[in-house]
Amino acid sequence: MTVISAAVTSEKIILVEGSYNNDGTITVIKDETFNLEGGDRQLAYVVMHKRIADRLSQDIEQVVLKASAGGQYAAKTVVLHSAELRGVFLSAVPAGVNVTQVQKNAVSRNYGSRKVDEYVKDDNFIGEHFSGAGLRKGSREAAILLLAARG
Amino acid sequence: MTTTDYISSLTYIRPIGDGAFGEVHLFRDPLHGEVAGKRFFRSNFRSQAAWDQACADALKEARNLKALEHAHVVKIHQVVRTHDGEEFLLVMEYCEGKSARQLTEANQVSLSDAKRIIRDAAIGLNYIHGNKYLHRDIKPDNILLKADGTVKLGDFGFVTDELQFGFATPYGTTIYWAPEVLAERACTEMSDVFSLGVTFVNLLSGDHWFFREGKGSVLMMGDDGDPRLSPKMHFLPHVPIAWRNVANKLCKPSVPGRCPSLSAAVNSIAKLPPVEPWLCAVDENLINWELVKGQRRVRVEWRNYLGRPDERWAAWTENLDGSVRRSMKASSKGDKWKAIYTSLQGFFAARAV
Repeated sequence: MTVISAAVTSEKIILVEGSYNNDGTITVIKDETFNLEGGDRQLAYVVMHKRIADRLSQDIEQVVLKASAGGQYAAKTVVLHSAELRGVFLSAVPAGVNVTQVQKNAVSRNYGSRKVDEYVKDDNFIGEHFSGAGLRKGSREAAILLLAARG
Repeated sequence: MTTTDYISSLTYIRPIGDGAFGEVHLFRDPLHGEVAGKRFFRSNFRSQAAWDQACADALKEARNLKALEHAHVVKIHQVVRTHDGEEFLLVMEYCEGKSARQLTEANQVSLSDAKRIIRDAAIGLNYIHGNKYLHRDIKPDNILLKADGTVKLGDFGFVTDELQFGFATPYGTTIYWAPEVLAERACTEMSDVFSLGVTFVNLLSGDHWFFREGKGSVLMMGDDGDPRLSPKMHFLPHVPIAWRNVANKLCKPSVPGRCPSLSAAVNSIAKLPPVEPWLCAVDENLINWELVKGQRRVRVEWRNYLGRPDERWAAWTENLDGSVRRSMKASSKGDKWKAIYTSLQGFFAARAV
């Protein structure tokens, strides 16, 4: 089963495609960044929508997305822009592809006992759980979503 | 059970060009409106076997198009054969805006248009690659434009899914071919990336600048007699360094140094910094830049840019009707080509957005 996890910020979307192995590890197939075009955000969203729709139409069975999370303070523009881009991403998922949204703080509940940020920094943990194509450090959080979604 | 010969209701309008293997004509279809018909004639083939093969190839092109349906790939509507078997017709989406070649031939260079066209072509090509096909003939002629500017990849006569270990044999136009294609006659996704890069350089140059000879020329003649990109090529002076770097990365001669995929190419193109909307017109002896700002216009002229006597450039502002001219900057008297190019490039770089 091929699954893609996505971490969306205001300016880019990181996608990690992987397949689950029977021993609980994940083989990373692709680790990619989709940069949002500069300039007019509305036009950039149109382009991003096309790119994501194309990418997710390539035999992807499930998408795991880091969900929006409300903070205790008023959201700054960058947070709102991230939420906008997350909406663009969700609307680009083709019909028939299952989408799971995972809250960052729910990862610890669903997987392991430590916080996500601790797993992200742990080279040994990453080495033990992920193989295949190289996984960039900046993509580790997205990759851990794959583990969390599996439970 | 009986079979019926159905009749296609196409109305012939006029010829619009030549494709790789057939003529292209405009028709009207009652459902789709204006459509392009790629016509293959039995009379153009010497034997029945050759004609049968051509029909089979045309049908394959149609099937490739159908398999690759995408917002940036030209659509196929139907395949028709005349009752007497003398003609075979692929009926496709008509792109009223012609092709990117018409833009390069017009020698009116707009960086933002070049970026949009090459980005959307890259998105379409990335989709093709994602479906395990190669285009193998990316060049301005095969990037078609709808009336609203929508970009469509066309001419799928060379598209193939017959990849052996990622390689297919080459067809297409040599200027846009990657060095490894010229040397080994084998195409890969990376050679499509190269062709897209050369097309980008062509769009950023216009045909006069792209095909010119002399100092800083874009093309050079290879030892084998095939033209190729010169390692010493110069872009038009207003093309920013970041843009040059991306174009150079797409058409790097060595595969390991080249942009590794179309997806990466789209990313790089997306991150190109914004530019002032200069309209650049490249004539045979004169390059003229115009930038309208409110009620005034900035103009730059480079005269005799091919290194002819009295070569010089000057920049000034003026009212939109050409009156009240104020000088901004100019080349120094006696400057040669290199000094003129460098100072002009510096003029545009200093204005970076």
